[in-house]
Amino acid sequence: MINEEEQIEEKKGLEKAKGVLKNLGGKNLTFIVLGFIVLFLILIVLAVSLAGKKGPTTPRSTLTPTLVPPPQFIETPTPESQISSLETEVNNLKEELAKINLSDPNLTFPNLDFLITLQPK
Amino acid sequence: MKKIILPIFSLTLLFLTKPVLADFNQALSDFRYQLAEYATFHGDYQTSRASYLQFKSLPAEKDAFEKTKKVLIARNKTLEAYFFLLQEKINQTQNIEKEDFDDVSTKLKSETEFLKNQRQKLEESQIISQLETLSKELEAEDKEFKDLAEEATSLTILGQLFSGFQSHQTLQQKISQAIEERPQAIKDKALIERWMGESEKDAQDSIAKRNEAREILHQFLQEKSYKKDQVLANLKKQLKIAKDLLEKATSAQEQVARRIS
Repeated sequence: MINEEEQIEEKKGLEKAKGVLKNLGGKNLTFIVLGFIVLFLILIVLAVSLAGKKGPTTPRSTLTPTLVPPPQFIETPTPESQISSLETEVNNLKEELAKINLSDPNLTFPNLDFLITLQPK
Repeated sequence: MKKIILPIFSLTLLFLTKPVLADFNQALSDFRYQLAEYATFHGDYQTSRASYLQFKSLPAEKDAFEKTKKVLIARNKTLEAYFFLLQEKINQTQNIEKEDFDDVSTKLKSETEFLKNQRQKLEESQIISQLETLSKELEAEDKEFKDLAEEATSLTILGQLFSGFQSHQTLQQKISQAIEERPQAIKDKALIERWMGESEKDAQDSIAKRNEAREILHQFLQEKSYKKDQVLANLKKQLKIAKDLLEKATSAQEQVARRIS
């Protein structure tokens, strides 16, 4: 008796699953597959970008004591480096001004024939 | 399910594909290509026109019609490419006043639309008289096209001059700061101060000339009389003065930078 009930329940379950598969058939199934491909691509892109940010993925040995990072000094520009940067900036500005072309041949109005006719001119 | 997947799919496509934007160089090479095409078709048109006027035969007329149609279409395409090039130049130039940018962009768009519509009509033309009418229509716009080109190129120069002035001012502050930080190392303080003063004055004069040139450009766009060419010549003169002054101002900064190093 119990076995019969179990079998009936199993059959019902199978029928339900078939029904679900039918509903998902055709176009919907294609969209699901496409969705998974897209999600997979996103995961790859995320993984690559995270790996790039984190650097090497080899785990650090737990046995070696972690070293305290050396104190970081913020390099203040020396007067000499400041001056050389000024010279570079002056050169950049000179280049910027040299690019101002008062009659740029690339932008000149094209020389076109504005009297196109088949009549004698 | 479909409702969820579709947005995900489109969003992913949006992030993964980089929009392909035509830049100035692309526009320039396209313009040059169209110009070369036009030159070829113009040569063909001249040969076939001469033949038609000489023989007046039916085959010569048919050939002349085809060649005229081709050169007219090529002329429109060249102008379309040229206006696109100008728009790209305007887009990549910083410090053009917004109202000027909007004004020139609207005009470029409108002229391009006109050229496209005209090209469509040229392609549909069946007889010589239709081609001639359309050609005259375009020729009537010649002056406006040239004015628009002057407007766009002048705005580019105005934008570049403003950017140059801004860079000069930033540099002026940095040099002053460097002088203040190491007063003991500077021997000719009076001379340096004089150069800095001259540089500042030239830069201010340059920006004043630049702004004056902008006013003259507006005057040029409204001028309808015979004075138009004079106004244009004056505009170009003012732009040159503004550029020369800014170069002089930068040379003074260069002298100071060398002296304090």
